[in-house]
Amino acid sequence: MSDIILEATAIKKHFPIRKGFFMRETGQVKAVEEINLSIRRGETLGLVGESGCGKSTLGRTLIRLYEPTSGSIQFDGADFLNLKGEALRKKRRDIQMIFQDPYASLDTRMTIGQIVEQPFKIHGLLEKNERESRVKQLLELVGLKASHVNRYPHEFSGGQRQRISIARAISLNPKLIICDEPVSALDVSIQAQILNLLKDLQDRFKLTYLFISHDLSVIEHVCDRIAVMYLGRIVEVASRDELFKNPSHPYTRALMSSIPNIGQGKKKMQKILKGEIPSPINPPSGCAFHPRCTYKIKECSEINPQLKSLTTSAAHFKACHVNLDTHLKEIL
Amino acid sequence: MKPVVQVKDLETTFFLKSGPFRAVNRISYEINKGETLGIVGESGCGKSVTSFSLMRLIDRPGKVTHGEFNLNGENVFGFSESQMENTRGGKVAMIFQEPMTALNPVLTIGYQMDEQIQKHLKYSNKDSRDRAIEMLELVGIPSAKERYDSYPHHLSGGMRQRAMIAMALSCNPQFLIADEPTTALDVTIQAQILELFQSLQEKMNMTVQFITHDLGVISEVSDKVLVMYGGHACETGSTTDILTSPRHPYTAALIESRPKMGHRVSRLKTISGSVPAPHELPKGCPFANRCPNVLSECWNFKPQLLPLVVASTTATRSVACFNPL
Repeated sequence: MSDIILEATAIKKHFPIRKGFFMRETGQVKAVEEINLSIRRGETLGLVGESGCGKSTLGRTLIRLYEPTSGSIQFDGADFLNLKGEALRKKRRDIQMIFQDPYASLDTRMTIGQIVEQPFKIHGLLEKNERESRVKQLLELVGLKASHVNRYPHEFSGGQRQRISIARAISLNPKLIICDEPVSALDVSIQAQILNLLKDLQDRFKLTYLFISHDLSVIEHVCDRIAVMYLGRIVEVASRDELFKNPSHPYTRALMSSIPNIGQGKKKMQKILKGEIPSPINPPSGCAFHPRCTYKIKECSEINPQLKSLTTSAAHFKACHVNLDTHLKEIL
Repeated sequence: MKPVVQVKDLETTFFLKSGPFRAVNRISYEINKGETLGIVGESGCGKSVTSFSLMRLIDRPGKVTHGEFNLNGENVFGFSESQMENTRGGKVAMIFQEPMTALNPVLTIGYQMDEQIQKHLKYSNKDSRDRAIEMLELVGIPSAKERYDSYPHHLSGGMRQRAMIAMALSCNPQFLIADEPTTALDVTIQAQILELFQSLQEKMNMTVQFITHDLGVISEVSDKVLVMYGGHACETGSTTDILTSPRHPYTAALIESRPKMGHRVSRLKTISGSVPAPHELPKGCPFANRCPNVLSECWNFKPQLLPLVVASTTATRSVACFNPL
């Protein structure tokens, strides 16, 4: 069995913009551009970036909720994009998703028992009484009471609803779970409970997570490896410790310095990123980050940098023309 | 020196079919000139209701049932409705969480600013236009003259929030209430807005009440903090004291449950359970059912916010707990 559970190669996802009576295509939103990504078995890969950078689109494309415009996905030994019918359905059991908003992702007219039972029905697994006992087991596993099976989602708080989503996602013993901002709609104290639950389930069932979040402190807490996205592209990938010790892309550095930290008192903010994320309909030429970058050189506006490994560390990749370390030395 | 803002025993009750529910329970605080008070707490703790109460924006079935709000010595709760109209947006201004819902989508930014400036400062059309553009420039909106004629949907989230801040500051308020002004924004944009806040505060020496659920944000903008839970004040004191040595178990748990960059732990500490529904709050201390250090009296008596004697500092610090850390 290979070490890599999912390998995405040159994934692109463009959404057409249609206008006018004939709905002619007038442009494209380039949400995801040429992304190469591999997820290792048993790891938690973090995908971090600001809103509109394409991280959720990428997550949904990997699970084929959106069909990619081009590219290929190898998932657990199969060519995932070319699977059809029964074979696709079988494979889809192994890849599940947890959504951001626990108020929108649960059907309000179904009891939570029915919600968690649904995956078994769709895939035609287990007899009725077996399903019922399995549902109760799952609810207890995520820290809810088995006696709550007949309640409706509105009777639960945000954190409890997210637990229901998690029970539904793990019901078919998947290998990979895509967590799309699973804690960003929750209060801090509840956020910690859900993060701990996800960790326990991972240890117990040897799960692999793709963890999408905009919050670097959450990402640092849960992830083994981190990919930073900006405007549809991955700009830096490294192991957690390496990334935080040695952030090499100017965007990663800016992101890290923007996070408010406790206990330093009122301080002057440093290295604040100017401007805003550009539109993915008409991205800047060359490196998409160059209009906001303080280190830009001539090539940046002309040539789009490819993701390359650093000379100092082979497992640390960045897409940037500038060598930040020499740059900093020059300034000093 | 007399504080600019003095809130005494504020109590706001919602009269619901299921019975009265106190969203804010006898809260008192003071803010001096040029100071920022951060109010922090989880959703449903009453932090927004506190601000709306001060602005007298609480609608039925809610009502401010007790308390005083003195602004530079004037009792705002004693104002008539027309005096209040002159106060809102004039002496007291407010910035809301979601700029898209707070701005009127069918009116230009300029129109909405003019309306306020002409009402409170009695400026002519031309002067108010100049004032509005000057304010838009002050908050760092590029090409402010064109933006004056833009509609809110033409602007991005960060720019809309800047426009909201410009609008709030346009009539030189004595007191600014910011209700989660950066929660809907991305981190890099949030950092820009927080920096703007800091620089404006230095320039204008504003008195601010800053509400947020994010302890990191509180730490960067405020001088002192009020921690709220279930409509009660838990703890108040200087920002550094509260965040580095919390005395109330809730404050401590809130700080510990947050993942901290550079301090990785294998498991986060959690607060068991969730914030109880209003009618399910314990009779005594609202935090009793989730508190790790609960004593028998916590269940039956409400702890009062009492000053702590701290030998090392002169700063005032109070905590509402029978068994503080």
